[in-house]
Amino acid sequence: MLDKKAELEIFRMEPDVDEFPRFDTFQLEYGEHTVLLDLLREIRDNRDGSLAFRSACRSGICGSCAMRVNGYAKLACQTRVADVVGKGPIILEPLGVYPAIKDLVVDLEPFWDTHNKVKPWLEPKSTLPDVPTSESLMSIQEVDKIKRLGDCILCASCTSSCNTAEVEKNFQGPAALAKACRFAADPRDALGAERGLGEIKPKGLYWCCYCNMCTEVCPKDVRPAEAISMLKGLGFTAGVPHDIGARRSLTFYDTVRRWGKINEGTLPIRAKGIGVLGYFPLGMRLLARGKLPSPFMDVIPRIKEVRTVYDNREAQGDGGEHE
Amino acid sequence: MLSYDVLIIGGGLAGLRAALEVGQQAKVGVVTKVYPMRSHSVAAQGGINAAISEEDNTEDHIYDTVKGSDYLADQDAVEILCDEAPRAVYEMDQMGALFSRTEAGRIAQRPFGGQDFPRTCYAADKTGHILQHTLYEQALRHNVKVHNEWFVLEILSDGGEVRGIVALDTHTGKVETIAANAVIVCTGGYGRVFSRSTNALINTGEGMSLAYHAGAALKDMEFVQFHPTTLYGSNILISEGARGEGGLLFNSEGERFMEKYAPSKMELAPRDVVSRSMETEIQEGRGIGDGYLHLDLTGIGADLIGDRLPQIAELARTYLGVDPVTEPIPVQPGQHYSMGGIGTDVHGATEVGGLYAAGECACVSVHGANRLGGNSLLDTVVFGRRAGAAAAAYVKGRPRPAPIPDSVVQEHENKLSALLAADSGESFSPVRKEMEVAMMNGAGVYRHKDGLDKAIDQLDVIKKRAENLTVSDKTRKFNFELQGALEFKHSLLLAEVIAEGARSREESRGAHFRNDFPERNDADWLKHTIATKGEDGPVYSTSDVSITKHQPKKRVY
Repeated sequence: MLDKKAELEIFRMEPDVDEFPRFDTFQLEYGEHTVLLDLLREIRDNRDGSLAFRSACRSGICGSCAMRVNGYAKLACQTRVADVVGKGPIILEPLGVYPAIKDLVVDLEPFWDTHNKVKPWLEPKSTLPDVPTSESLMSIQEVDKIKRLGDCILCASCTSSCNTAEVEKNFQGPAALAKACRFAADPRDALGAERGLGEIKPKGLYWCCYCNMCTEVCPKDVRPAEAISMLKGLGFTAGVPHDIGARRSLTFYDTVRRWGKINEGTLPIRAKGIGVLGYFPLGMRLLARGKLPSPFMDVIPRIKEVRTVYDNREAQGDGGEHE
Repeated sequence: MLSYDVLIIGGGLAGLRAALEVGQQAKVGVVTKVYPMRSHSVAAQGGINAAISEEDNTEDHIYDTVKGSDYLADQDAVEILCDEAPRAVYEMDQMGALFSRTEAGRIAQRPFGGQDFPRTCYAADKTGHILQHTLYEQALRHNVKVHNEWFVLEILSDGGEVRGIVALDTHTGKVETIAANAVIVCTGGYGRVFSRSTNALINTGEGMSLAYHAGAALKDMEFVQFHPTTLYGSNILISEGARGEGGLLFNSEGERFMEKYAPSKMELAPRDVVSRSMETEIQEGRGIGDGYLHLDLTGIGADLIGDRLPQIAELARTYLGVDPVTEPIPVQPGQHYSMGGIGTDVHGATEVGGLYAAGECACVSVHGANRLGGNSLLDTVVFGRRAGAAAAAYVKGRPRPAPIPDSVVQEHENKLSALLAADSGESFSPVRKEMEVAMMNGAGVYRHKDGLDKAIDQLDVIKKRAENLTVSDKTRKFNFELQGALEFKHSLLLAEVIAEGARSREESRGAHFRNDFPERNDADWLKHTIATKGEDGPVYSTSDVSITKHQPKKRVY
């Protein structure tokens, strides 16, 4: 029963015609179980045939209809109108980060490009027989560990909401990194964490700014932010050479074990290596103003307790010691 | 100009499996009207059949499939399907598919309808999603070239041989041509011909229609599968796996009504039997509300639902506000699958040289009059691979495909411009709705000559109206309205062939049930229906069914 009324404000833009987008308003009726996609289809079928939006499965599994609803990325097909209706109109806009092409359609090519760069596939450990005669054995626990990551539908909700991706177009983004993690943790895979993750182009793992937006907006509860952490751990365990971010983490780790605190004097040198010379003028200015801490510092008094924490954590294993 | 040895239309399971096979031997390209990950293969839930257990055997899989098909399947094709099933599943595993596992680490299997053994390999209730991602990943690994969001306008054939395709690139709005020595059609089903369907909005069936216009035959189109358990209202699929894991069906009187219809198999009778039983219950007044029944999973328990049926639990919560752990799910039968399609041999080949088809859009036929759950995913990977191999062999040694003349582009440009320029006429959308309703009423679960006559009369009127459509969006890029109008004309051809086939087949077999001819009639109708393009529309004929080991007998569950 469609017994309630909602107002939709929809971002409209015609390619090659409109210099600036506009918002069109539609009044529509909805019921308890009506989803946003139902309203969009009603508009395109019966009110304005020119409204452009992607859609396919209607059931939250194909990832076509991701768009911003009141500012947050959602799948139109699994968002009930009743859950997003408020005092004002419901505002529908194309996904962020990617260029809008027409109305709610964005250019997803950059999304696929970065996704494709993490080698998002299973690389078999040995040459496979042409006609396989058995499966590879895998425990329930091994499947459970990566099953959540396998639920990703590549709808781009996360990457289009990612604060790093917003400013750094070369960042691989949460969807691609979750996919990389799904394979890095698969016991059947030969590449492991070595998937070009530490390379500077595109920007790797350590550009993640821990804002957790990806996990917040994910319509399938894939939790890409957790995957990014897990991937860092897998990378350290496998001894994969990572970028400056990884070296910085390692420096933190080592200096705290040695002195019980961070050594801010040696941190940039160890993280950036020879590249730190480029910061020489800045270093001199910091030194002149007394802002550069001395690299020669004392070990804290209760260092033994700190090292016990390290030893206990490392004894637990599982690559968790660097998380 | 773009040119491939083999061009594949469709980026779902059959298309990508074919592409991987061709790619090893010849230059392959894929065109798809949606990104491959949006293909409807992702929505398959329950699983894929293969006799991989030591206690199971392929002969039983063959028998169950043939019996399930009501003896209309070609048994030589069924033998190939079932023989190659274990290999197909192992290949998917080795490519990285994340199947659910047993305690012993093997691929987990569950019971499915119409089979005497728990033979359905699964990945929770997301098997299609898992398989589609796996093939897409491997397609990336092997650098398969994909033209995303291209809508095919024509398959070009000349002198009985394929020449390539014409397509609309929706990103640029331009008409493009691709020359190819072979084309494999892997475009899935046509569910949107019916008003109540589990299918995606993109399943409008143009691949079948394009192949028909290129000279291929459409086979057994009157056989339309109605899935018993689709969510009431939206008709979103609720997997047969729900019944495989112990879900029960109840009517308004709290009766487990399948006792009356299939006392031995009960809820796990084949889909045609369960859907008819449900429809009878509803028609005889034992439906709930204004026409649904209850699928009760409350006996399964929260843990098992969370582990094996998480997606359908989520779907019931999102779309009906029902928690299946504690409440029954309102369900009704809805169109789900096409047993019929582009007629092919066991290599996916049609009568047109170089034109192949695989997956739901094809009819080999392995499903006959009724498909078993778990056999469609199997069909896509087995016959996708076979069609790919056959197409690669076909193009071997041939000269590069001949360039397509510019006049072909011009012809299509003119057609599109004319449609965009038309100011008078109707919008396609309400007309399409009338087609869907006419088909649901006349060619649904139960059929009768009177109803089919009426549906065909309605389709005649709709066809005339479809000649006079107008599109309000006059632009070229991402013009979904234009694409919808073009899709609709294809759907309408399929509707006609389905209804005509159903009217002429005066018997009841598998999913095709005629109230006025309630018995199967092997003497007159143990044969396939064939529709080919004639001067004034489809011309109908029949062809023989291949029977090897299993002579037709009465089908009881």
